[in-house]
Amino acid sequence: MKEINESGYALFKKLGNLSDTHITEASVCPERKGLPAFWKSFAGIAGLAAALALVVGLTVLVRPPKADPPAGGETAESESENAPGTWSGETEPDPEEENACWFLYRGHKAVTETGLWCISQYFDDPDKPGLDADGNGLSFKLTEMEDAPTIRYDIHGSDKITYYEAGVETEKAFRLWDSDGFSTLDFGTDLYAYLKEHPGAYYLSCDRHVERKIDGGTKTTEYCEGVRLIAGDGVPETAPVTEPETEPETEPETEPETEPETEPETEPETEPETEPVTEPETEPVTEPETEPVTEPETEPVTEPVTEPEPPVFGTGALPAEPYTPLAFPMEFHPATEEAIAARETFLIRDWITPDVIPTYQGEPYSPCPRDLLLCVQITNQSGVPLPIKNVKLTFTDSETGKIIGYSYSNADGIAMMTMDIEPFQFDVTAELPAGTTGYELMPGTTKMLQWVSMILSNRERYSLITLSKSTKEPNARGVKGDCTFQIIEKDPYA
Amino acid sequence: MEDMQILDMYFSRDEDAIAETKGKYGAHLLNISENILKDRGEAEECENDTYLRAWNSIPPTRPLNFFAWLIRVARNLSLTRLEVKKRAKHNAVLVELSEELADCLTDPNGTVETAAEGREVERLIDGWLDSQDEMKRFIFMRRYFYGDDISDIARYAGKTQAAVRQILCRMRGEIRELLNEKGVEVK
Repeated sequence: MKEINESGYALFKKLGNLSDTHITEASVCPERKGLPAFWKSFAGIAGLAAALALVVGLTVLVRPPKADPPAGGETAESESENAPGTWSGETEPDPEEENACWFLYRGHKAVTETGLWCISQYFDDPDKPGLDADGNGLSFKLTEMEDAPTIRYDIHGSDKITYYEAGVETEKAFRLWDSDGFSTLDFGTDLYAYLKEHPGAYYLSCDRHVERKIDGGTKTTEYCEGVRLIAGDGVPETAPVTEPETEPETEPETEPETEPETEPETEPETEPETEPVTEPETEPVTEPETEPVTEPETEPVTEPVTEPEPPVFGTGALPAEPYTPLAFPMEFHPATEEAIAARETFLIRDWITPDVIPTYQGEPYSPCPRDLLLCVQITNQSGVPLPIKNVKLTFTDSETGKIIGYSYSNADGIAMMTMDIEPFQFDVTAELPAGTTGYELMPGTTKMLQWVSMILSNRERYSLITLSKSTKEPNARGVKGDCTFQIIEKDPYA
Repeated sequence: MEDMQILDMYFSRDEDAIAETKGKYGAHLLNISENILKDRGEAEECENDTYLRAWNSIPPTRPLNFFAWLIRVARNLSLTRLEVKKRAKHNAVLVELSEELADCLTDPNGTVETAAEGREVERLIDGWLDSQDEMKRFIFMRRYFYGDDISDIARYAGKTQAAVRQILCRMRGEIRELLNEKGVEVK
C-alpha cells in the first residue's frame, strides 16, 4: 500500500499557513475571462466565422527559427486582433520557456473556417519529457474562444514525435487527438486516409517534429517545425462557410489586406523544412484561395448535416447529447506485422465509446497487446442491459484512489476503457447524464447501476472478479453508483 | 452577518455565534474536512470541533480574517485527526497530494526543514503566489490548501482536468526553482 511522501506532506501542512488573503480569495472561483457580448451570440459568432473564413480561408502557422518571432503566429494574431472579440487572455508565448512550443502555446490564436480558435492548452510534463501529465503523450487542446458558443469541436491534431532516451530513439508516431484534445489515438500513416473518410471533420494538422534527447534526465534538444490549421473535408453544420456561393460576397471586406501578405510569407518557409514525407499529397493546400476548390472533391456538401451536436468539453459538464465519436475501422485484421504495428498504439482513454465497438473476429478487441479492453455494460438489477447513452463511468484504482480514466457509454449502454495490463483492483463509478435520475431511467428499480458487467478482452490470460456491487441508493445527486472489480492473471498451469 | 458582528458575539459569549458561523462558513469547513478525511461523518465532527475551537479561542483571539482562521483550524484538525488515528500515512488523498508536493522539493526523500526555515518557505510561496494570475492562484490554493480533487477544480475553473494538472505541474516546477534560487534549504 502506498505511503505518503513525508516531505511532501510536510509541505502540504505548511501550506496551511499561507496568507489569509490567498485562502480567502480561493474560496471563491475567479470569474473566467469572458468575451464581448458579441461572441456570446451564436448568430454573431457564426456570422463572424463565415466572414473570417472568407477573409482568411486558411491560416498557416509556421515555425520560424527559434529566436525569431513566429511568423505564422503573428499572422494569425494580427488578423484576429483586427476582428471583434479578439481573445485577450493569457500571455504571449515565450519561445525560450522550457517545454514551450510557441505555436502550441496557450493563447495562440488562429483563424480557421470555423472562426476564431485559440490554442488554449499545451501539455507536457517536464518531468517526463514526451509525456503529458496523463502520461499519454504530448498533447494540446485547440479550443474555440472561451465562452464562445460551440461551433464545432471536432478538431484533431496529428503530430510526429520522435524522442530519445539515453540517445536511443524510442518512439515515432503520428498522433491524432480526438475532439476533446486529450485522448491520444495513434494512427500510423493512416491519418489522412482516416480523416478523408470523415467528412465534417476539421482537424489540426501538426507537422512539427519534436526531438528530445534525454541524457541523464536532461533534455538537450527540442525543436518544432510548425503547425497548421487545415480545413477538413467537411463543413460543420454550424459554420457552413466554405460554400463557394457565399465566398464572393464577404471576401471583399477584409481579405485583400490581410491574406495576401501573410500566407505567402509563412508557407514557403516551412514546407521545404519539414519532412514532406509525412505529408501525404492529399493534404489540403493551405492557400485559402485553393482550399475551397480542393475540398469538394472528397465530400458531398450534404454529409455533415447528419453530424450530431458535439459535446462541450472543458466546462466540467457532461455533454448534453453525446457526440458520436470518431468512427474507427471497426474490424481489425491484424494479420500482418505491419497491420499490428500500425494499430498497436491505438488507445482509447477518457473517451466516448463508439456505438460500434472495435472487434476482431466478433470479439471486442484492443489492438494494443499491452492493453486490456474493458467493455462495461450497464444493466439493471436483473442484469438486463440498459441502453443509456452518455453515462460516465469512472475507473479508479482502488488502492491509490487515482482515477485511471473515464469513458462515456454508447447508445447500447456500453462503455469502453483500455488500461495497462496489470492485475489490480479498481472501482467503477457511474454517473448518469446531468438532469436524469436513476429512477427515471430504471422504472421499477430503486438502486442505481447494480449492474455493471464486463466484457474483458484478453480473456485467455486475465479474468475479472467482481468484488462488490453497488448497493448504494442514488445519492443526493441521484446519479451515482459504484462497484469494485479486480483483474487477476490466470494461472497458466491451472 | 458581518464577521465583525459574529466575532463580537463570541466575545460576548453569545452561543448564537456558532450558529451564525455555521450558517456563513459551515459549508466551506465541511468541504475542506471532507476533502481531507474523505468521510462525511468524520468531516462533520471536524466541523463541530472547529466551532468548539473557535468558541474556546475567541476571546482572547480576535482573528483579523475570520474565515481564513476558521478554515485553517478545520484543515489542521482534519490532518491531526488522521495523524492521531494513524491513518495519515495511507490516506489516498494525502498520498496523492504529498507526492505532488514532493515535486517542489529538491530532494523529495530528504528530511523536512526546521520550523524557522518553514516560515521562510511559506513567505516565499506567498510572495510567489502574488505574482501568479488569479486563476492559477485559485487552482493552486484549491488543490494544495483546500485539497480539492482535480476534477472539482477543473469544474470550478472551467478547464479540463488535464489542463489543471498541467498548470499545477508547472507551478510546482516554479516553486522548486524558486526555493532553489532563494537558497532556502528544503531538503
